[in-house]
Amino acid sequence: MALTTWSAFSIDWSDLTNDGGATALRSILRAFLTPDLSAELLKKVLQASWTTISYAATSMSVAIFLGLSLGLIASGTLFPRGKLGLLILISTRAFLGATRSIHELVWALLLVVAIGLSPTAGILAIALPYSGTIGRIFAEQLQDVPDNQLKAMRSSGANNGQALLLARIPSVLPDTVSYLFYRFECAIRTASVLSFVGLGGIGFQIHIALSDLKFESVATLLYTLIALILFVELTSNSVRKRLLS
Amino acid sequence: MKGEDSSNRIAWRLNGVTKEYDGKRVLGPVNLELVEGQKTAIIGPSGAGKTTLLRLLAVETEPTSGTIECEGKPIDSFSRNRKYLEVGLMHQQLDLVPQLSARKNIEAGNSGRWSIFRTLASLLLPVHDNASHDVAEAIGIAEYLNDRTSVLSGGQQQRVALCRLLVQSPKLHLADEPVSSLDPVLTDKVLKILCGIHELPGCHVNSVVANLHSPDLAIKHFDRIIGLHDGTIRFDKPATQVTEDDVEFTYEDESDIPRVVDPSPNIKSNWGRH
Repeated sequence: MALTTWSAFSIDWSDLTNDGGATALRSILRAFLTPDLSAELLKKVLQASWTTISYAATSMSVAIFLGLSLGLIASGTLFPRGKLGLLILISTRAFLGATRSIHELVWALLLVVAIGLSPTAGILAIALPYSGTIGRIFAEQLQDVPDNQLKAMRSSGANNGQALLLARIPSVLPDTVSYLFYRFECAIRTASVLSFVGLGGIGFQIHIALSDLKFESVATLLYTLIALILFVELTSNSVRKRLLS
Repeated sequence: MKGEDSSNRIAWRLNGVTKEYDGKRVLGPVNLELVEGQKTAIIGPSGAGKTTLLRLLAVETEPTSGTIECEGKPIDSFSRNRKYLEVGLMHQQLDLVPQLSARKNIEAGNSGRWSIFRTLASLLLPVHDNASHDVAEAIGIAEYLNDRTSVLSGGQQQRVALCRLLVQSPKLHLADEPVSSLDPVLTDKVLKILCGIHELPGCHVNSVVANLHSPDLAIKHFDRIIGLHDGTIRFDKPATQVTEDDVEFTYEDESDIPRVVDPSPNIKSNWGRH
């Protein structure tokens, strides 16, 4: 309560309204009803979408590989917890924690400085924090598999690896796959934001259109982004349904 | 069948075994000897400690006091990796992996003998384990083998769990209510297989201890009947010598004493199959 009150008072409310804002808002709203559908722009939109999707897909491939393999180790379900096992466990968890506590945008800025304005920087900027999140979620899912199923496998003579294959992975697979699709949606959004940093793609086009005050073009680009994300969600639903039946 | 046949080797021995949960005694003291090859049924009211007794034999829980020996050695000395050869327990809750097909759940019984690569291959490649298939066929679930276990009925899942135990094929088969969801015809068939009356190729059922809810089934199929009440043994007799008084004594204080009625194997019933 106190924190809310204090924060409310520390905002300078007089800056919140802006002269001519209402006019600008009206023209933006009108633009969304009449998006620019000219062939020239649509071609640009297609190219930009393709760039954004390829950034998202490539980063997700890296993130899935890193995240799932590190998550498997971080779950602690594979190795006995000896001294070495504990060391591997802690260092993996530390790596996953470190990569995901830094935001994609910050990673992008750091990597652009480190390796220059290249696709590699953009891809790593998404892949690193995403592998941290995917790894953590996968590790938790693996740990939450019903204990009775694991015990039943063990009593049939299964070792940790076999229990993983026979009980843990089948149990978590549908949830993991739909989570990965959700992360792919996030990756598309992030990839479009990262293109503001200068890596190309839909975000870059939005940036240019906004600077030129071409709200109709902005509307088209945003609609495209929504369509892309809807498409991923629909695919995710159908894949999940197939996994569950 | 103590003292009846001196050539029968005592494989398992429970000496003054008790089990307490939170200071409350649920079993014991129990003194018991299990003869190799014998099919033993345990009957008794709910809460008598039947499941606890099986879990103790399966080394899933430790006795509060007393010792359990197998071939003269304490059972907790079994190596974790070799335990599956000695003993296997089919839980009442079955503990199947619902997302796997019935076939994969049954083949999981091979885990102890299979390397991880073989397990991986069995999951990824369309290769089937013949022994598992034969057992499933004998138990009558061959047609559901490729279905997801979660879509199977309770009776079908129960038979999947029993198949997994038969494929594991330990020296001592433990089964907690293995036929509670089956119709009389299937019950008869399944118990005949479990009790070794019907021999299966490649699957030798040695010693069995099963908890049953029906005294009649126990008497019909098993060699030896143990009546458990409030954690203690009320009677322990060869099946042929169990009287109605024994059964009533075991279930006393219970409002519904199961009556001894012969379940006719001629009833053509389909319930429990779907």
